[in-house]
Order: sequence, then structure tokens, then C-alpha cells
Amino acid sequence: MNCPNCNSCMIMVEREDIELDWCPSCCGFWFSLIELKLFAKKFNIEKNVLGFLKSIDLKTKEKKRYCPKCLNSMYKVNVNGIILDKCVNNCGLWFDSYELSKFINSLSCEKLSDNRTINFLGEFFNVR
Amino acid sequence: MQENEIIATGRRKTSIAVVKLVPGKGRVFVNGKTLDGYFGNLPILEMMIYRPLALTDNQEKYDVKVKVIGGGVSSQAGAIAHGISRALLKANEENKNLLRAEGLLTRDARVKERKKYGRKRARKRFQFSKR
Repeated sequence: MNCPNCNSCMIMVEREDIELDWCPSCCGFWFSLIELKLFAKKFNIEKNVLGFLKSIDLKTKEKKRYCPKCLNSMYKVNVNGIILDKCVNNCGLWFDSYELSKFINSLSCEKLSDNRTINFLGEFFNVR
Repeated sequence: MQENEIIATGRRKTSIAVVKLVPGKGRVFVNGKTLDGYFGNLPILEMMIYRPLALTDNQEKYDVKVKVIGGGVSSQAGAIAHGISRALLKANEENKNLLRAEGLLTRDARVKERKKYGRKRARKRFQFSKR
């Protein structure tokens, strides 16, 4: 699969039974919907994560991106104040490298039952 | 989760299998159905699933409960075999060499290549006609 941001080949990475596609050149990552559901179920954050799948397209100045899986254009969605790219066909979500740290911070601001989610994402990508 | 339960995840192409190993008689249930009921008339897929259990001599020690999503039957069978291998490794570290040698612990990263415009399939070109 090619990166929707820089079009270079992405690498599959796995940790704690969750598999992601990571771009080594721009450090963004692709979270497919099935993996996102597994992730949300594993860390009990289904309400926090899966709610925005129904959200509508935002109008922003950000560059339009295309889904690496189905090649359709992606919506811009607002998740906890962060603008992410979501596939029209719900194939998955694209996080830019800087969006990840913001996302972790937003999760840590919310009252989560434990810090496992933040630790998982932080350790995975060495972001704190 | 029960005390003796071992859970692992296996993947192949677009299939994901969540495998639970519980001490039992060697029965395998896939999405609530028996192996015969789920894969029907495809004994080669059953062989694929039983391979890690047979290789490590655990065929009658564990019951296997699987929840599998995505993909087709072949990739689902591959995902289940991968998941069972990982679960067996969690159960006993000594199984590692056996499973590794057979390539059962390796995640097969090959996926279907997308079709390109101007071509018949991913690589195949349209027939060339000179006139």
C-alpha cells in the first residue's frame, strides 16, 4: 500500500495484536477500520474512537488525499479538535505524524479508564 | 476471560482471526460453527488449520474457538493457522523452533495488487493489435 501523503511504500507494523501501516518517509500511519475496531475494543474506548465514523466532511484548506486502499477521496473529519482524513467508504483513517501527538494529548485530556491507550500509541511511535 | 484461556490474533491478506485456546478434546469452532460446517467441502483448508496443532502434538489437548472476519475462505484458513501458531507459542515457548521452521509464525505480507487503468488486470496488458 502506498502512503496517501508522499506516495512511498508503507511498512506493516504490529504491536499488541494491532497491525498498522506506517510510512517511513513522512511518519504518518494508516489505521484500517477493522484494526481500529479491534484497537477500540481492546482498550475499551469504543465511544471515544468509533463515534466520528458517522461525521460529515469538513471544508478545510488542507490538501485532499486519496484512500490508499480503495483510492477514493477522503473526508476531513474533526476528532477531538484534530482534523483527520477518513475514507468515504470507511476503509480507515489517516494520521499525519504531527496529528498523532495531538491525538495522544487529546486522549490524555479525556477521562479514560486507564492510560494503556496512550502508552500503546506513545510507545509505538515514540511520541509523548 | 478464563484462567487457562490463551488468546492470539492471526492475519492473512485481509482476514483477521482471533483465536482462543482452551484445554479440551481437540474440537475446532469457527464463528460458532464446526470446521466442517464452516469450510464445507474443502479438506485442504482443514489440513492447513490442523497443521500447527499436529506439528506440536497438541491436537487433542486444546479446544479452539475462532472468530474470523474479512477476506475469503482461503485467507481465513491462513489467518486461523497463523493465530493458532501464535497461541501455541504463548502456551509453550518450546514450540517456537518447530513453528518457525515451518514458517507458521511469519505474517505473510502479500496482498492483492490493485488493478491499473489502461491494463486488463494488475499487470496484464490489453491484447496488442497491429492493425
